[in-house]
Amino acid sequence: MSDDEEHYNPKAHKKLLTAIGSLGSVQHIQKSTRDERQTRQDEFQLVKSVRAAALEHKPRAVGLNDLVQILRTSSKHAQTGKKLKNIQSTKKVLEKPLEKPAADRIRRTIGYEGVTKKLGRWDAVVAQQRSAETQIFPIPSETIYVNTAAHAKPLKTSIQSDLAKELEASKQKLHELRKAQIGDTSDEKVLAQQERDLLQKKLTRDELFARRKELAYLKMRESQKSAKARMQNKIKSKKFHKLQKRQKMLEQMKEFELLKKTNPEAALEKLNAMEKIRVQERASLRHKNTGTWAKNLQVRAKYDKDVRKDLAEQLAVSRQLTQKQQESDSETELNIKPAAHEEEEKDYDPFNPWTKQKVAGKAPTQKAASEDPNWRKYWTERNQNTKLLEEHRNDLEDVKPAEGSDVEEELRSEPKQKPSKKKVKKPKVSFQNGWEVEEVDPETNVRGESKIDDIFEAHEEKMRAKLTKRLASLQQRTDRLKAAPAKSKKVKKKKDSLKNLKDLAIKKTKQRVEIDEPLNHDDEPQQQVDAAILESAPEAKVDSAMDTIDLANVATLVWTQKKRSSGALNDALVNDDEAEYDEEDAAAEHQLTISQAFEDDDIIADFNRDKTKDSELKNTELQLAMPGWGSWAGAGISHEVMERRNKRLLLKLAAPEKRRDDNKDNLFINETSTKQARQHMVSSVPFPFRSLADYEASIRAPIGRNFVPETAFRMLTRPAVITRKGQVIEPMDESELVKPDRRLRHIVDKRIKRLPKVPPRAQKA
Amino acid sequence: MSKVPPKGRAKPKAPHKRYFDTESAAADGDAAGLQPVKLKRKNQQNFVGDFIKMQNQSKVRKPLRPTKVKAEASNPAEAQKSHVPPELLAKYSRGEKVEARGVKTRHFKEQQERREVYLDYATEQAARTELLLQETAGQLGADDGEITAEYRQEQIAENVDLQSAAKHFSLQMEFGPYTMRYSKNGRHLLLGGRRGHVAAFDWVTKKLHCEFNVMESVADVQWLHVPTMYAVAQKSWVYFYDKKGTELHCVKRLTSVNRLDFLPYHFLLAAGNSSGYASWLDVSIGELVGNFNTGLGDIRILRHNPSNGVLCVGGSRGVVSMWSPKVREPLAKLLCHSTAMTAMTVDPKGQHLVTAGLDRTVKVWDIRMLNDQPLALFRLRLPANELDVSQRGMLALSQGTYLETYTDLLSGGGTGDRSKLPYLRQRCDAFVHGLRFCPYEDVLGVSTAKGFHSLLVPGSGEPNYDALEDNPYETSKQRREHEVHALLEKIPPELITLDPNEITGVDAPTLQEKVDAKRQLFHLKPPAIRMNSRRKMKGRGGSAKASRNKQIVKDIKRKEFIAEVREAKKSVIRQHSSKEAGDDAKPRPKPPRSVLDRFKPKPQKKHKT
Repeated sequence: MSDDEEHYNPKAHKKLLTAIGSLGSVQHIQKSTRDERQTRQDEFQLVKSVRAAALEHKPRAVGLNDLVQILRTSSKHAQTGKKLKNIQSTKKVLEKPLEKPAADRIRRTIGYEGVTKKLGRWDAVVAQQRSAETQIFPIPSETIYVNTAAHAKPLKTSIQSDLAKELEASKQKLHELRKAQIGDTSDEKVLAQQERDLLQKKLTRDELFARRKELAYLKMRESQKSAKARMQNKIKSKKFHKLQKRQKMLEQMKEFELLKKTNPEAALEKLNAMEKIRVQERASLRHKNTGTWAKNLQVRAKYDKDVRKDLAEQLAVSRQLTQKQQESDSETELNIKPAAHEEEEKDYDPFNPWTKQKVAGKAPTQKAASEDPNWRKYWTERNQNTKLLEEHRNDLEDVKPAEGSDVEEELRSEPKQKPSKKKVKKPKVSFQNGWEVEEVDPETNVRGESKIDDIFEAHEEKMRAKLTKRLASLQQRTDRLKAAPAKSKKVKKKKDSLKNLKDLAIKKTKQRVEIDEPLNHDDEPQQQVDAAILESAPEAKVDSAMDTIDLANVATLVWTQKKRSSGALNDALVNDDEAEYDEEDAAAEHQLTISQAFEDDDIIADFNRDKTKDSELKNTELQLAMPGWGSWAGAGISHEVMERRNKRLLLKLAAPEKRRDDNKDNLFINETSTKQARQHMVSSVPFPFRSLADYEASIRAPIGRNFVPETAFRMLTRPAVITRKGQVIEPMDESELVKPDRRLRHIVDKRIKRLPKVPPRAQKA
Repeated sequence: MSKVPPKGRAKPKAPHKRYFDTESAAADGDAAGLQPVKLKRKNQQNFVGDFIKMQNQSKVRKPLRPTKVKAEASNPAEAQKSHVPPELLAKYSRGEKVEARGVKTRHFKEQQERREVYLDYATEQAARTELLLQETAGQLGADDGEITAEYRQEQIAENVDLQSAAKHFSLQMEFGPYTMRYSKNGRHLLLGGRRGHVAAFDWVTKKLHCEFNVMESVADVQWLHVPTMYAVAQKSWVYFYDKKGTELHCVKRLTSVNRLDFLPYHFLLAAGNSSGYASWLDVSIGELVGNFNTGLGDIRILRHNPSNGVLCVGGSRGVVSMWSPKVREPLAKLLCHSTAMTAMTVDPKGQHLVTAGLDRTVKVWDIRMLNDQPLALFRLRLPANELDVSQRGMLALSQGTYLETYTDLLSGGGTGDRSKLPYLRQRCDAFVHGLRFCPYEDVLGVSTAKGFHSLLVPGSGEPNYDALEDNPYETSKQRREHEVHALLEKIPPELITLDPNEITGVDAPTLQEKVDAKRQLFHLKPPAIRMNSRRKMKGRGGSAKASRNKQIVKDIKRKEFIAEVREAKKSVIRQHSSKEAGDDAKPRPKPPRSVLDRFKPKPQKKHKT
């Protein structure tokens, strides 16, 4: 052991081990994989396994593991290391690309398949052309020629009667009337034109792109804006909102100013709209107790009873208002407002220029109502003006006290003015909203409450009136609607008809096909002709039948004759004949007796003798024994032995065969007589036929003009290929693949087409 | 200022003009001048409208295997559509179809099937033309208490229309006895008196073509393929005359002719000699295609079979022998009568042979099947000396001066037979020497010793004629055209065989030929080999070497041949000796296989050589 230890050199041992290892093993050639980028890819995949020895000398290639190890050192990258490891274990390494020849081969095979598939589409066409009875070149196209020239005679299509025309006109009138009733101002012609335009209008590609781009831009803008709006909505700063609102108001004001100059009507509407917004805002009661006044009151309410009371009242009022608003419809609201107006009127001086202003001119008040920033100023101005006016009036009252009656009259006549006032609801609203009116007198309030009932009654009446009116209008409407369905139906019908038109348009193409048919179908008239012929045929048949009947009669007559043949008349005839014979043909009789004398069986015997002689085969035997063979031993050889030998060696070459005239005593048929004709015969059954019978059947029927009718002759001798003189025969194009089969005109072609196709491997049976 | 070519420099010499230059230039010019013109159909050329391309139907995929039931269903519908009665179709049918099984490849199978469709169509069309055959054949019908046989010609002539009555006439002539022939279309009549009188005339209009005396005895007369020419068998030779009586030919190779006949489709004038020679003269080329001794003696009865062109010769021994010009033996012999024959005829369709003998019978034979028993038998009081069959199968026979007709050839009858009375009978003033039905007319021509009688036999002729075949009313132009067509369709004489359809068959060696071939095998000598060796260069092999090589090759060839023949001989001997053995002893039945048979040595398998 010590020796061993002494000798043990680990390095050398290791070397030895590797050497041994390398001895036994064949060179392991690994499949090259792509684990990293390489400048050169070994084409032959001859990547040798890295030997241990080589490993020692060369610096070890950096592997993934190393990287992972490094990464593991820092906790920050530990996760990444794990991921890397996972990736290495889970993800597959890309296969090395195929060698060029192999890849090419694959490409070629794929290409070949593609081409075969492409060419295979032609198989049916080729087969059809090959087996076609006749081919016509150039291939007849399905083009038909329709004369659409302007000078072409228009077809006379309408055969409407006068009544029909009148009916149509009246219908049209009715239609228009109904349209007018509904208030449908749209011109149908224009609509149709628009529709047509739309249908016709086709965007070009560039236009399409531009449009799409535009749409995309718009969408983007929209999304941006919505995002911005959402952001703004989230802002909680009241100041910001206030400012924003103010800004909006300002903008609107500006617009309004502008409109006032250009389009007063539109300005009015705008004002209305703005007012409405404001009303809604106010009605929302968001500002119930958020105003400065309310806040001040709240501050003071701790110490002041009156203030508390005021506040309570204010709240009560607000509640009341809210309640009413909740209950009331838009119409009741409308009705209430005049009532309120009345209150106000009662509250205020009839000579109040404010109210007068309201009655007289709307625009300023409206303006006052709508504008926020300006209206304070405006209002202050206004108030000052009114004050001045009041003062002036007061002065005037002092001058004319008698005029009060007039005023009272005015008061009476107030209701007359009502409608005008009613119309103008804004001033009142503005009044309500006018926060300058700070004090609410309890008295007036009470008064208002007490009066409310009356007002309500009055308004109920009004409402009733309105309701009845409404009902009437509704009824009217329903009536109209009842009428309308017909109309709408008509409209619908029109639409339908339009649709139908479209359908027709589609159908039209189909119909064209139908139009096309007679062009291609020439057999229909032919059929008719056939029918005509067939119709005419029965007559002929009848005739023949009649004839046959006649014949039958004749036959029966003959039959009766025969029956009477033993009658006296016939006997007389026969006897008469006999008498004649006896007289004139004595010489013939004489000849006969001579011939009878010579008549014997010799004739038959002679005939038979001749027959056997003629029909026997010659040289049917062959003597194989040569003269002298086997007889050289001398004279002592017995004759019998020789005979027996000769008999044995006699070869009978032909066995007796059955002849056509075998059992016919007095008939001889020469069977070797057709030597000359045989030169014209075929020596064996020709190719496609299996048996002589088939071959004979194939040429059984003559096809010449003398043997078959002309029509059949033409069909039978139809050329296989028909070309037109001077026409270029173009090669087939792909349209031939989808082209329908040509319509066959001749009955033979049709029958041939109907023939069941011979299955490809039928003949093997 | 004009441009002047610089001095001192010769003009560029124009290149030599080549033969192709002008052409190419011209071609260029043409190409420049001419635009390719797309030809249009006539109806499209003046077209002003739009061109609309459309497909009237989409391509419908058909089922891969068409159902048979459907096809069957469609066929009766088709048949109904055609409205041709099946019996008519059967009448015009050409026979059995080729079975698809009997054709080898798919392509030819389909072709054959298509062909059958065409032929069906042809048959159908032919059957449909039956409509056009409006004329119907009738017959005399007798009233109660009468028979047709008692009607006399005068009575009949009185009762028919004028045109038909004009067809009954008689001629009294003094150069008798007469022979007569109608032309193939039945329009013209040729009469030949024994004492030299020859007359040709249109018997319908009674217009005489010619009449003359040949100043020689006349044995027989015969129209040729056109009614402008005829042959007359005179005392020594046969002469050809035209319609005007001009002598066209004198055929001296036909001597002492007794009987003449003409095969219209073969253009053969057949003649029977008094010394027993049968001759066929091709009148289109003027050659005797057959001329040999039949060994029958004086030929007095001679008729050709219209269906196959075979010449039937009635012999004195009661035998009808049939002859073809190219075969020196009779094709067939039929013993008809035990006595000498007196008359013979073949019906126009070539179905029946009618013979009369001295035994006072008239026999009807099936000439196609060639049975040894007659189909019908007429027993007469006297032997019939003349016979003829009309196109519609009426039989006329004469017994001396008396003649009678029978409506049905196959019904039989006779003078004594009271159940089968003749149709018409007539007694002539003199002995009847010739008797022919006129084609396409209800007329029987009778030539007697003293003249000619044209008798009315209602219902004898074919009422519907095929104008392309025989036109009684043909013009000279039609006649000429017909002549050309007939010449083009002339059948060669070697095709005259008993079975006209034999040509469609396959040439198979007869038994005698087989025997002869086998016999020959035993007497075969190796053929001499002529060998022309290639000339070689000098020194490459001397003549001695060449001859030696030649000898070697010859020896090898001879040995090969001998070996082959030996093998063949052996096979023949084996074949026939084994047959003999087989004939002598029937092959023993195989013994039943026993259980222990498996221990027997197995027969060695034959090695393939």
